[in-house]
Amino acid sequence: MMHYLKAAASSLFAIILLSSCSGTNTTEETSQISTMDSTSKALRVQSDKLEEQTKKVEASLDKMEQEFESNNK
Amino acid sequence: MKKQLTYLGFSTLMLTLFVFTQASAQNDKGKGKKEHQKESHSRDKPGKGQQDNSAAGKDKNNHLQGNENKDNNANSKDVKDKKEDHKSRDWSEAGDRDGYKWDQKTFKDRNKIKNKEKVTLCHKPKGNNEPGVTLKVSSHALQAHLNHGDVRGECPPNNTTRYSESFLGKRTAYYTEVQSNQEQVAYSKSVLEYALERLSASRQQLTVMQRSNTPVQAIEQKKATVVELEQNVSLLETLIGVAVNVAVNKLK
Repeated sequence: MMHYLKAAASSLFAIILLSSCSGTNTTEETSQISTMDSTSKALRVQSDKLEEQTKKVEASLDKMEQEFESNNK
Repeated sequence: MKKQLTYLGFSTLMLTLFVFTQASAQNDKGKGKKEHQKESHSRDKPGKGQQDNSAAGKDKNNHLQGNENKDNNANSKDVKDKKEDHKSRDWSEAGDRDGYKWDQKTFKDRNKIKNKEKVTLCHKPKGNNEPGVTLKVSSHALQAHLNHGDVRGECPPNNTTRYSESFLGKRTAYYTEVQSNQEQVAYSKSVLEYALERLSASRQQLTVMQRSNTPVQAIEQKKATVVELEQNVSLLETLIGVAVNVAVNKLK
């Protein structure tokens, strides 16, 4: 009886340890995913701002070009 | 009783070994991922762009040059470190190597040039056994990727169970975002560089106009255009600096 009890206790211990290990894995991945998400968001915001301002500069350059061409006609 | 104790001792020993093995594997995995992220992030740090800015800034007024120098000084150490550490494998600088160089003719066709078709490639993370990441990059950035070992086409299917599907999916999205950001920064820098050249030329034209008998209205119009461009250029430069800093800080 004692033999079976100890075997069962050992198995239980192993199961607990295994689940804790896989839990660590999940937690680690979750943490990394969270970091990647926040980084991606920050980069996206900056890219959008940059794109918008670049378009403004392009528009100014186009305007300047048009004026230049019309002055040279 | 003695037999039972022996059995218990043996079980405990086996369990300890098992736990130790698992813990080592976890540790290695975590370390590998961290190293990979660190490497990727370091590679994402802008460097060449700073130099590009510096080159572009030659034609700019003192105010703009001041900002630029500040950025250069702040990041010069990063540039040095990066050059040493990632000489041959700086994929995320691909954007900076896009080779956009504008003149009056090409700038008119910039949309065609910029929107060249994207190329699919398999990006190989450095430093660990992580599976490759399939990315679509600007054709302008392709060569830089190929130079450090990436290959054309999609990555082979991932058979490892080391990483969860969700993690790999997020990782792909993350790399795609980083790549997209780098390409935008590179394009914006190229436009900034061209705008600075045009600004310099326009200032000279304005001086000539003021010295000659050009009508005041024409001079005022030219002045207004130059001022507008100056303001937009100044803001663009600031935003490039901010984008670069965000990349540096977030990708640490």
